[in-house]
Amino acid sequence: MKRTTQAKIAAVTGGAALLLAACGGNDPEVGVPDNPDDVSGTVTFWTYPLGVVDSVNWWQPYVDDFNEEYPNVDVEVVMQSFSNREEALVTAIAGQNAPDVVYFNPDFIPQYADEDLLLPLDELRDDWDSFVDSSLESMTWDGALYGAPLLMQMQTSYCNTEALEAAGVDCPTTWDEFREAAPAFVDAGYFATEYSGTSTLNHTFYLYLWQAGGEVLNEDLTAAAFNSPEGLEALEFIKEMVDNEWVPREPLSVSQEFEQSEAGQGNVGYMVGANLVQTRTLVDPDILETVPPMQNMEQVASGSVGAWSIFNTTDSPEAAQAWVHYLSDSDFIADFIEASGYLPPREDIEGLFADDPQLADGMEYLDQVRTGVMHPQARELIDVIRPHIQSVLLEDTDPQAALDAAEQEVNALLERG
Amino acid sequence: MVSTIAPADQPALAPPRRKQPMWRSPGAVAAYIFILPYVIFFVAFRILPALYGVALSFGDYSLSGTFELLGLDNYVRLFADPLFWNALRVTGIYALIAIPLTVAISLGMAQLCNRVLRGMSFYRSIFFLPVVTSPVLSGIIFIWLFSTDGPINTALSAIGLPTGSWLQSSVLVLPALALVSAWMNFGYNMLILLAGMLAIPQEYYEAAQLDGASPWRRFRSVTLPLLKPALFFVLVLETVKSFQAFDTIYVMTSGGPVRSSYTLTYMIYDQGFGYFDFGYASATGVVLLVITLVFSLIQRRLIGRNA
Repeated sequence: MKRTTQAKIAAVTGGAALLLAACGGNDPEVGVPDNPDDVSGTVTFWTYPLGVVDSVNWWQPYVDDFNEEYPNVDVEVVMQSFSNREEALVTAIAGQNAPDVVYFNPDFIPQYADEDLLLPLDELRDDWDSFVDSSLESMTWDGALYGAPLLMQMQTSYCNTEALEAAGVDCPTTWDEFREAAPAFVDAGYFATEYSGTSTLNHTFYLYLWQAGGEVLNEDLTAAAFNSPEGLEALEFIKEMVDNEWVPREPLSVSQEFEQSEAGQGNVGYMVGANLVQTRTLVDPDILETVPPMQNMEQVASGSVGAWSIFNTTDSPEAAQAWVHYLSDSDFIADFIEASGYLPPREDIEGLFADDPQLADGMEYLDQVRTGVMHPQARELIDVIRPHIQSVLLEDTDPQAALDAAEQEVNALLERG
Repeated sequence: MVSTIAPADQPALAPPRRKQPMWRSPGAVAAYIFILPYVIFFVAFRILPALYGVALSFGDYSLSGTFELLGLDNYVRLFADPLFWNALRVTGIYALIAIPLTVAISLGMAQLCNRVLRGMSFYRSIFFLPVVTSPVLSGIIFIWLFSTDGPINTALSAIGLPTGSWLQSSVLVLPALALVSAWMNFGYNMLILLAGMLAIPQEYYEAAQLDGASPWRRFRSVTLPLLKPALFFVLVLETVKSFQAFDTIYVMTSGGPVRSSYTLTYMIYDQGFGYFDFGYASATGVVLLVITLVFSLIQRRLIGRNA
């Protein structure tokens, strides 16, 4: 409670400081002085391999372009690795060596904002209404925007047309259609789908829970809500897949590399959600039929948003904001999306994927994308719930008993804070 | 009264020179200079962080740099946390399997390599390869080896033995992970034990052979007793490694299935890097340190007394 109050005071103080900094320039609306020559400093910029955008060289022309407008800002691009991502960040912050601008996904926002480490970006742009609502919501915590979206990623639903042909079924788009198609896929020598027992629940149990119409937490995020008829229906649906051997058993307990997985080898009939760009590097794109996100009570696709956040420890807040402003302009995002194959978080970018209908189809469903639970303890919640889901799938624990036990642990965790 | 005057027929004795303390001898000074860089690094990167960790365990440290003293709260919470007791149980079982398995394999391999054979140095190098292989890479390879249709199950099935769902079973997962650990570590231990074996004088073996001792008897009565110092070192090393098992588990099972491979180090990692609960993670680390220390002392008492 004390910490929360301190955090709020710090947030208000930080906000006031930012406002003062903004007022120091000529345009208080955007938080960056009007005259670019007045902006100076070094911006340490941590990015990660995003599709083919995996080297510092890719960024250099954009840094040069930015420097034409802001000649006194030195952008230092650091290409980090996704493996050990959290360790590197935490170590840098604890060592008072945090980057100024960093690439974040939704899970990170509440956690780092709650630690009072991020600059609010509400005033950075005056065209936030050009962005997809769900992309902004996934970067918002406690009423403040902490990330400028760069990309959206939707876990695409698709079928393997060779499997469809062999099984003599149409690609399912609802739970009931999947139940009908699954045995036919298996009889034809394919797995009906794949379920990972080790990856984030955002793409697995939560997805089915949302499709069943359920929620992970209650509205004010103070108690578990997944122990509900919808939660039970979702868990029983997943158990049905495992018990009937519609899914491979290995991924229930082992984190497989994509190329080692059955999906990566093209042995799965239907995927409820997959990274299409990654899939097409291993599976012939011509045998992939993309379909709308799976639906039961609700039509939901899992996904993620990538965004730029600014640490409030930065020595050059104006320079950092100018750089993030540049990175969230439609011109830059259009170039990035075209190179990387992700989906755009801005609605004002047109003409993308004209020659790629599979990716273009995904743009229609961006509003159905859910990225996870916006809570500072989101990751801990997943770590608490996941073993109970595994115990149902691997050790035949009763689904209701597993949900009861998970609910008890989650509520204790939320109560402790 | 004792006279201090020497008899006239004996030369007067020079006053006894005070013995120079060992640490002030020229040799010692040179030695200190040589070990100084290591000591500085050891203190800076091992001792001080460890002390810092102990201090953190008594408070709540946030990433933004604030520290609130909590006294023993983290320890009280830890000992009431079922997650901790589960992690402790898993760590204990893992150590019980991994330590004897690794030491036995290392000892066996050292004995095999302790002979004159053409190309032996090549074999020794090959056996050392797993030590320098990345644990992540090893983990990925072993996921494939342990898979349902993987080579291990295929081999077991070929000789008529039952196959196992190695990484899907709460019972089999720890032996499987211990096997990976043994594979990764035996090369280094083997070299230490081999060095110990080579230091045993051949005369002892010759004498034993003349007395009619069988190879097994020679190993039991000559090799093992004289290998005690090296064996003790390997045992302590393996104990520490087993209690700190993390990387292959992280890659292969993520602590599952159903937390059956969720070790104390994994818990520390989650609490610190995952949940930013550094005080609690440090308290878990301190408990792990105490446990490791106690076990090492017990081992010293049981095995290393004469080592």
